[in-house]
Amino acid sequence: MGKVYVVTSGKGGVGKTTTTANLGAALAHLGKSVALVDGDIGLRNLDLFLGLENRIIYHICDVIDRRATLQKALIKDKRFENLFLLPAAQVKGTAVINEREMKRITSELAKDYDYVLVDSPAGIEHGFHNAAAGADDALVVATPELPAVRDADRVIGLLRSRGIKTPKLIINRLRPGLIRRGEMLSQRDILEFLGVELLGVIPEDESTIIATNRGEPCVLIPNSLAGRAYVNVAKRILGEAVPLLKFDESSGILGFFKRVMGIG
Amino acid sequence: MERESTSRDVAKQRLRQVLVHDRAHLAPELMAALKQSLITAAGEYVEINPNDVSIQLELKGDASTLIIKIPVLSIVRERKT
Repeated sequence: MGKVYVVTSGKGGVGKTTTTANLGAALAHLGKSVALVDGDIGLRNLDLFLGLENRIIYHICDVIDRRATLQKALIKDKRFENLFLLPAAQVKGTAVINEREMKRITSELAKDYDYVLVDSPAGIEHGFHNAAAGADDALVVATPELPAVRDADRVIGLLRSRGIKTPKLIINRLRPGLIRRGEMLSQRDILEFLGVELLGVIPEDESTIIATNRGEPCVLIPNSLAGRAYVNVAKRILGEAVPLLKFDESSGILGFFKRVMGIG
Repeated sequence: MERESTSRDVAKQRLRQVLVHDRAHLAPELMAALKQSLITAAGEYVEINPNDVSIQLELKGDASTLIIKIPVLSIVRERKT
């Protein structure tokens, strides 16, 4: 039986979908079978991050409406044999997703895949609750900015009240230079406030933009710092004790690169 | 010489305040009602000036603490009814 994660954040634009795509690719790269579920109904985007937008025939609402089987709706990734996507509907279909249907889909997927990642829409309305419905655990994405951390705190509270007691945090778009100058919240600051387990820190990296343009996760781009950081997160999900990158106020840029390259 | 606070310090301070409010889920009216209850309760045992009473929610790490300050004017020997 595989494990189901919801990837969520409260605030929009912090990198939920980027994180879902990259962790999916990284886990597949590490030999695991992975199903990604786009839970953002009406605003389908996960397909773009994987470059699968032209292959969509059926989507999640077709599965709920029994117009297609789950197996038929799943799209196989171009690069990874064991990575699959269940796309969201782009227009609101006749099917209305509810928590029960979502649970049915994720538990069905968990029978066949090692990991099921559900990309949640922004916000804390029913789209968020649907995405979290079948999840065993949660990955909360936050950038080192006030609104993102505040929303993460809110979402962590909601997840706990849903029975997901130990949500894991991923800090995205961290800028070590700004932290050194005292102009950005550090990972230590954020952890102090949120009081959850930190699963990884993804540095701000222009390779994520290039990767999105090309429709390939940045874990595939050689020398991508963000890509390496995502692989580290995936390894931690698999239970490997990969040391956390430290972007403390004191760390120099050389030390940062050394650590990212795994030679520090 | 006093160092000018960085935007990180300002962010932490603001975040602390906003999270206290968010987590407490206590609207200002509720805080006022809580304060009134405390004044009534304390007033049964000691003499206080209601205007001196202050309550504050403080956040440290994972926990929120309610800090109540009630200066006592004099100890009331017998409990008021």
